[in-house]
Amino acid sequence: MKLIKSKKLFFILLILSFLGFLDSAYLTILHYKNAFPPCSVTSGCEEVLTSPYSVLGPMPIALFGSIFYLTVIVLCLFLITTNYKKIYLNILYPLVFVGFIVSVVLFLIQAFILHSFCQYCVLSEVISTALLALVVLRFWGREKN
Amino acid sequence: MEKLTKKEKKELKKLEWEEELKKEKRNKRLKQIGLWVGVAVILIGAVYGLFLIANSPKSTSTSSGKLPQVVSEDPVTGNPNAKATLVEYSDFQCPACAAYHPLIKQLLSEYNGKIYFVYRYFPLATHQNAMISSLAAYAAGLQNKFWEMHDMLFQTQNSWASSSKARETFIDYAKKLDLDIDKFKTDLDSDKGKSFINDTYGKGLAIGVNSTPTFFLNGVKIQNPRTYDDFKKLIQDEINKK
Repeated sequence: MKLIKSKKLFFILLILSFLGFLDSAYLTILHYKNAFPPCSVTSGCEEVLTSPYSVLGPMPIALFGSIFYLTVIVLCLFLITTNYKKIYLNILYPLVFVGFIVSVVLFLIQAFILHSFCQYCVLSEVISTALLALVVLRFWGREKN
Repeated sequence: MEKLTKKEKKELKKLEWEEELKKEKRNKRLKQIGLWVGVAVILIGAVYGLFLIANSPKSTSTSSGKLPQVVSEDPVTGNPNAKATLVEYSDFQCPACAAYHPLIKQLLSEYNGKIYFVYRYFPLATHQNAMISSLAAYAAGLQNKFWEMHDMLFQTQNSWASSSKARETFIDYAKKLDLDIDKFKTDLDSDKGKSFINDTYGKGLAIGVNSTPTFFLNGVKIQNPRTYDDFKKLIQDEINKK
């Protein structure tokens, strides 16, 4: 019973991190493809994506996001196929937590420094928050048991 | 005889059972490999799809009305009789416009006398200081210093883009440009400037401008050139045409 529950949970994690990967990979491609994304009438995305906060050294933040989500996908697959080996959980938990903290920082930068939001970035932040929520739920559930 | 058959039966069952177990294991293994391969294929397909989406030309608005004629209030520079007239719909707070600014400057100096450049205000509502910066350029224009203010605004975009005191910053710029400050302040707040800027914006929207910068070369909307050389080629082709 517990196993089924875990399996479901990790499949949800898998799907969420896949969505997160799509999102951040798209931004990464845009970053490398288009040096100057034009500003459109409807969104404030370009301002966020071209701000000095959108890169860390030579690498766009979106690339870090893609790597993060890809790692979560791989860890979930390992967990599902190895009957939830503890070692993978021990990597997954802190990773998801770090991802969440980074998301909070990025969200605050958009809200208080740039004063504009990029829908793709916000989507990624929502996904990483959901990942953390799921992981915490499982962790607490296990502790109780 | 009977015993043997029982033994045989037992062994057969054991064999069958082992076979079953092996099969199950193999199936499980296959399932796992399938999962990995499946996910890998989906990921690769998704990345390929994203590349296609990112590479597809941006759907430009279908409305293709005629580019409004140059009016006396439009900021212009260069030779009005030049073979190439470049019109830019631009927002001082748009990072892409700031990125194109040095390219435009270079074009104007390289094609000095052969190009006519028109700036059109297109302050986007998503940018908090887009309107006030347009007004600052407009007010400077009334004292014949539009282009000086234009350059200053783009060069310092990062410093005022998210500032809540942009107005003060622009007054400082006006001082640096030796403008009549009282007049500058009055013009900054005047409805005349605002209505001209809004009018330009509205007419831009009507002909399908939906992002900045949007360039029109001799009345025809062009895809934003990726490099200076691409831009130069477009201008050169237009000059060579007739």
